[in-house]
Amino acid sequence: MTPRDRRAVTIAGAIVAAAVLGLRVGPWSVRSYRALQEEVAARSAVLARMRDAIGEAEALGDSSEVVRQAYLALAPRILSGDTEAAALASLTGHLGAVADRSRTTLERADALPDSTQVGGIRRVTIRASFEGDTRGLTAALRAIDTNPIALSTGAVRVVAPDPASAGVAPEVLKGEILISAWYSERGAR
Amino acid sequence: MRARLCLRVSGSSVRAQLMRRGEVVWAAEAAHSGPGDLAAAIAELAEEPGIRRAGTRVEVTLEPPLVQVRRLGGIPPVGSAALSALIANQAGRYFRKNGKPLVTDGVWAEAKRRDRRTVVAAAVEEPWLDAIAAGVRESSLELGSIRLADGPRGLELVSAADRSVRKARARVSVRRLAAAAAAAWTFAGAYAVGGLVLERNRIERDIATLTEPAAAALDARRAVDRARRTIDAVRGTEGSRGTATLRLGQVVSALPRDTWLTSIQWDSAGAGLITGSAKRAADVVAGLERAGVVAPRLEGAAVRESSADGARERFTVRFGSAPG
Repeated sequence: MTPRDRRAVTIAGAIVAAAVLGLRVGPWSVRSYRALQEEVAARSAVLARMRDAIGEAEALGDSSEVVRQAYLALAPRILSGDTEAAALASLTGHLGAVADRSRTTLERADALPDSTQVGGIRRVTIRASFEGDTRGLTAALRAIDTNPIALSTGAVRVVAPDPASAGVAPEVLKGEILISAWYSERGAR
Repeated sequence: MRARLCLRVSGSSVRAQLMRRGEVVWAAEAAHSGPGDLAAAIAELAEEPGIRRAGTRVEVTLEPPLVQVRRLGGIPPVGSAALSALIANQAGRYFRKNGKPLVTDGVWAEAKRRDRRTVVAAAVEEPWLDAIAAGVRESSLELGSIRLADGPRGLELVSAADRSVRKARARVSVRRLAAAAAAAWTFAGAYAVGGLVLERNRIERDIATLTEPAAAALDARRAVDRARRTIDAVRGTEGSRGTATLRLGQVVSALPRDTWLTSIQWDSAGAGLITGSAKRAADVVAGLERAGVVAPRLEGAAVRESSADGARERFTVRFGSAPG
């Protein structure tokens, strides 16, 4: 092999090596480096979020205790029972007591579908039919408003079945009231 | 900065100047009778203390009549390497040989390629260059350039043997530079990747340490958020209590005394319907308006009817939403 041949082989080898480096090894290295950079950035972001979460939890401090106390204080204001059926039974019981206190009759208590859920509590709604006189229905509404359980009234309908009997027979009014209340669902406390 | 030993060689003497940072720090002169004892003269000059310091470079300037200089015309406009080869091949034609081999070189007098017409060529007898190289070698110094006095820049008078040695040395230098560059890039890449890997490992360790506390913190935060929403919901319900009683009271107190109600109803939005009878249906609407009930209006015409206490009007009144 003459020096000229050796030179040609050397140059060709250098070109091949440069091509492999430039077209394969180089791009692969850049891609790998970028992937590593992105991975480090992503994990770094995860770490930052963790630190933020811990920092916020420490900052919550006393306010979380205040919230906890307020949450515990809700217990008397929501229905007992941790299932929908139990809560409906409890609400019906409370409405029966309202009817007794207001000298009205609880004729019907029909559960209505209600999927409202907030935080750890769910809502149940009943359409309650009371029968009584004006004083009794007003007392029933007041008893609902002042009940220790937080009851909310929606639509109200009061009907006099026989208005022509006014002054002749005892007054009879029928009141239909939508009443909702909250209960704490099982496992959500 | 490296020290330079500048030698000016003439036909009978050699003058030496040691330059350091651009200043002459030492000078001397020695006589010689020709190439035969020039090497000894150079070695003798280099005996001076301080000259044989490592890295001292020797730059030689040849003075006439050691050098023959010619201005040549009619040379094809070739590159510098080809021009040197062309002049070397035609040395006998351009220079006196005196029976001794010549070392030649040439450069274009014009800087721009398209203006090239004249070549400045120089030749020196090879025994002089060999003597200079031997003297420098004997002194353990490094031979730099060999130029002619008052000649153009770029003329390099180097013997064939020395030229090949210089080429080989230049190749080695280039290879060393290339190897150094490759090593530097490799080191930089390894440093960058290593730094990232170390950073990733540190982050992973921190994440492993903080996973449990962070999960507990998130749980606590969720519990507090849920409790807040729960409290808000129950308090919202309590805040709306009494609305039904108030509304009923508002409507009933606004009705004229002679009104008999058949039914009253309203929805959670406050819109409702009152049916019944009164002496004058218009008085019912007027009373509701005075009491601030929202948008009361008769629905349909009032129906007159007679009863035991006289004529009455049966009515239906809507309230709470704008009339359609």
